Amino acid sequence: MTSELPDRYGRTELVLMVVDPLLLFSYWEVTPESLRQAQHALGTEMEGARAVLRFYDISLIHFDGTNAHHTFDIDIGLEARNWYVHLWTAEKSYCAEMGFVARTGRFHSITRSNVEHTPRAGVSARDEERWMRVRFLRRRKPDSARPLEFVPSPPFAGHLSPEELRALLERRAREQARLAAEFAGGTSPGSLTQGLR
Amino acid sequence: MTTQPTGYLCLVLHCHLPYVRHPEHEHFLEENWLYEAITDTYIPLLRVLNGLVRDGVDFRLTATLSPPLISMLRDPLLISRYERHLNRLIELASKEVHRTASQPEFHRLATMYVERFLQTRYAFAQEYGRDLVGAFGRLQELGKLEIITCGATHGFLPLLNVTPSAVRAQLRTAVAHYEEVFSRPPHGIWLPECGYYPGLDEVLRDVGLQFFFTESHGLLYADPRPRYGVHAPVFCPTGVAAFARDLDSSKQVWSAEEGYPGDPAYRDYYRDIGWDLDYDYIKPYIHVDGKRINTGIKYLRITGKTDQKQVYDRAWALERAADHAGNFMFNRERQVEWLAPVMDRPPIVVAPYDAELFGHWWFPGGTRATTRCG
Repeated sequence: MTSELPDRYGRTELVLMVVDPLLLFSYWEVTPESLRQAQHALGTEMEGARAVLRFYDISLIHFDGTNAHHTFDIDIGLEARNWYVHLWTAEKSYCAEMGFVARTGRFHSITRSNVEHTPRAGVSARDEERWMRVRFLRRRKPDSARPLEFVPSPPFAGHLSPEELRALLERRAREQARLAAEFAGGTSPGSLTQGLR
Repeated sequence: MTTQPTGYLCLVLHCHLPYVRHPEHEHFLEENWLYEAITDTYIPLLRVLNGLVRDGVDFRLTATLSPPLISMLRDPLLISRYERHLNRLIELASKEVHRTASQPEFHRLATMYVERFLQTRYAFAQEYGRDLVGAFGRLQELGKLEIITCGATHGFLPLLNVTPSAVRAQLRTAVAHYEEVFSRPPHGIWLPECGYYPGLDEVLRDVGLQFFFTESHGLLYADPRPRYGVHAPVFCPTGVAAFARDLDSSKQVWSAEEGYPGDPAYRDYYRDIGWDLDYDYIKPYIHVDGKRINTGIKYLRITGKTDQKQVYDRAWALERAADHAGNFMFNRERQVEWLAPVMDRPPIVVAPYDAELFGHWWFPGGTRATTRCG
């Protein structure tokens, strides 16, 4: 009565997904036709060629296929159909190509993935906030007829100087970020009950 | 003359269960999650909130009712199966009263369970007319409860965004479903698993949602850095507001070591009579295949890091719950007092919890904690 999700969809594609700031997940399907094309393109160089995911760091640029900041290859087994990729810096944009690297170094690309952006792993260094006024019609419904308006930031409150306030809030933010990192290890009811046993 | 409050406590209860409904089986194990939650969480919560209304105690609470949960709570088959489940539970509890006649400590608890289940059945059928969603809706109409929505099937939106139309479908369907059920649009949403990605706010705006809740680091790591961390909401460029969890209030409740629910006085969820009692006796009340499962009747308390569990003492546990609730509120007040002078607006402390935490894992927690915050 239950229907299984299909194992293949009959089209070649490579998909990237972000797991966390330093981890990507990729999955793919390669049709027999795409493999034949790769064989045809590489010819004798197919002998001893390695299947790879070639990653391009394309942070903050428009990628034209040649202008990545840098690239790196991950050797994969085609039959695996998915792979976790560990990174070393957060807040980057990547796309990847699945293909074969011949012994000569020649690379044949089978397909290119979507673009993914990894998030920040910590508090931002920028603190120049932008303040916005949203006009409300009634209690909470924004007035869509009035455009959103950027306004000057309000003055710092209280007895602290702006520098003192900034330092205080920075310390709080670091504390909270530390707690957040601790918490990342498990806040689901499942982990709670492990401890209660 | 109203004075501005020093700060705000935003208590959010996230009510969600995966959609489980198997008409092709007379009994289906995972449907029990719903029946347990109704008995241990949703009905006790409604009774406490309605009690506060009756007593003229003012309160404000936010609760997510996810579309899958709402659908199950309105499903005639599941509702009638719940009644069947509850009747069986009353039957079992009555047998337990009889069985424990010569054991005063257990007998006291068995009697409590029978009374509790009978009250539950009465509330379910007579007070709420078998319509728990309607009961929550009435509290919203009174202005005491704000019901927010969640993804249509609780899909994790950052990953579903591989296919953007899937994200739109989750949100459009959730909003449409909410409007159909509550005859008004939802204002806010609890993002499934707090999953946010830049650009999601555009879709939220498109479906008319005005605010959402996300994880602490969703705001803490924002760029540029928010001046007040998680203690004030932040607008996305689209005008949709983001609220993020305060970690201090979470830690007190969630932490297995330091949190309230781990207190030795509280009921141990795992020591259920479905596992502990004689097999032939308990067989009619466990799984049809004969597998031992939870029944909902538990006699032992956490006691400590030991397998020798002591008998649950309800009066003591309720006292502990009152202590913990008082302690929680005390800490929130101190927290707000610390924050208020350094902010140009009243700070807000967002304290979200899975509703099932109360009543389910942490047995008396729901009753006392909610009463105190009211």
